[in-house]
Amino acid sequence: MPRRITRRAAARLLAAGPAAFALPDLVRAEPPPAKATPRPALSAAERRQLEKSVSQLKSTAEKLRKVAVPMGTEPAFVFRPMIPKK
Amino acid sequence: MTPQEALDATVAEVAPLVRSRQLSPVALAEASLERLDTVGRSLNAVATLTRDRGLEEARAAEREIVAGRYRGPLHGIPYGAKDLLATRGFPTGWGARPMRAQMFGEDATVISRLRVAGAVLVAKLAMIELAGGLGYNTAAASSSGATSDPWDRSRWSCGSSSGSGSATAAALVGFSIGSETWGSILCPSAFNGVSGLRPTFGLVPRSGAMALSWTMDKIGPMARSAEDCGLVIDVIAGADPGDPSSLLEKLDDTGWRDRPRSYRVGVVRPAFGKIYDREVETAFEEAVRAISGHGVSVSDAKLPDLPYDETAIIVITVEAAAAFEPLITSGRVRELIEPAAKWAGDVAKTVSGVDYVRAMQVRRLIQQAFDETFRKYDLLISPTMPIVAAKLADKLETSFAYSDPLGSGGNLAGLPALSVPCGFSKAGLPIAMQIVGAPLSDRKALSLGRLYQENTEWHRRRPPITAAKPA
Repeated sequence: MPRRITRRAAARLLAAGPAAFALPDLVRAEPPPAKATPRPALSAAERRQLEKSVSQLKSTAEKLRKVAVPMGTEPAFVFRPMIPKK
Repeated sequence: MTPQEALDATVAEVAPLVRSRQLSPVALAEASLERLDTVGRSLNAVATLTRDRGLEEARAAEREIVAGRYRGPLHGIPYGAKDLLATRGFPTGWGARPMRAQMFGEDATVISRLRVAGAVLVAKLAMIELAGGLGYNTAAASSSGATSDPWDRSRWSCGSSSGSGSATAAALVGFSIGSETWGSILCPSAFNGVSGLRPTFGLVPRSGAMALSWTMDKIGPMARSAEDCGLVIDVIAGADPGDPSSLLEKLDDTGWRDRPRSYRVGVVRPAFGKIYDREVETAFEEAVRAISGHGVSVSDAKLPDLPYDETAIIVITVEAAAAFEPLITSGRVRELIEPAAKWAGDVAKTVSGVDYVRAMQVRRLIQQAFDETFRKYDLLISPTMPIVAAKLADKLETSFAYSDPLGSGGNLAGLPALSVPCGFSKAGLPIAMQIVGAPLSDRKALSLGRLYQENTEWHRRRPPITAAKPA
């Protein structure tokens, strides 16, 4: 049965929130536009640049896929440095 | 010592004079503000002068010191902070045109801690837009314009902590605060000939700092000696509930008591030659001989063959696209100077969740590899940068086209690294060496840096002070 969240519980959740909440209160930010402005079309040169960037990033990811990672290796998140053994 | 002469000195040298009232914090702040306003602006090193706040903090410091309430070595010392640290009452523009007027209601934790220590905030310093989080290919990718290197104003100060490096080298401030995700403290420290510490990940809280990569961002000091970096880190380090990644562990304080001569130092020699400037190689080898000559045990070290740079690229690209998602979806990303920033979000989205997790698995292997390495060595040394400062007009994809395993790997594994000047090129440009340690061995790196600087004079050289713009 779904439980309604109380204000207190919501406040607790917010207080325990992610790092994004660690930024101090924004006093007077440049407000983002209410609606995203339409994206202007890319020029042919820009499109080539975009395609080059995508291709480079894909080959970078591909290189990592080829690394022999033992099954069960826990990814490094939540990230904390390893303290070397004495 | 006049206030102008004091600006050229180190914090460790100036602090006793402030404490004994031979130097006035107000006079120091005024001298610093005057230099920032003239020399600093000509270098494009300044984002915002915090004149009113600086003078108010300086007057408060003076009153307290006169009343016998001395807070410590940073009391009354003017400093500047990279413009990604929130400061109440002044804009925090992240170096980016769309964020230029952004204001926060409270100070970042680092700024609060420095205020409690009595340091005097005189400027927000220039930086590359969004600390390069959405990519950049020119020195001019900053709302402040390209920041010059004071040793040669036609050269770049490096990024992304451009203003912090330039202002500290030109002695516009006593010290500065920078941040690093990959190279942003070490490179400006090297190009500008200052000492800069990238601390262990999580040692310095990032509350109130712009997020670029939650798992890799670090905040650290840039100063005119390793000793000064230690004085600043003592104030800004420590857990903070506002930063879920901040470490509860304390710095190993044996570093200060240790005799660095007992350290085992591994020398990581990059493949000198094609990319590496021969003058960098010569200066670095001289530094290795100097360290060895002080009785430190030095031997060759080799990093395991792992895809350090590729892993860092995937992690940073994906996390930055997530961090700046509101800017990307609002379309305001198109106001950035770097043309490629407008499609950076689209590029990042081509990396799958599986690929990101894969990168974090490889990152674990990198951590384990460094863990093994630091069983054999207390510290590693290597040139900080393979080249001297690039020209302002250079395309960075060309000037920086080399692999950086100790830089990317060190950042991925959260390792502390100290950059110290270790020579100059024939053209008078600084060359630097990095000292890298295991997590939480920041003080060991500082101790070795201090030993090196007690026996060399490179960190004492200052660039000519002039307010002339580059030709």
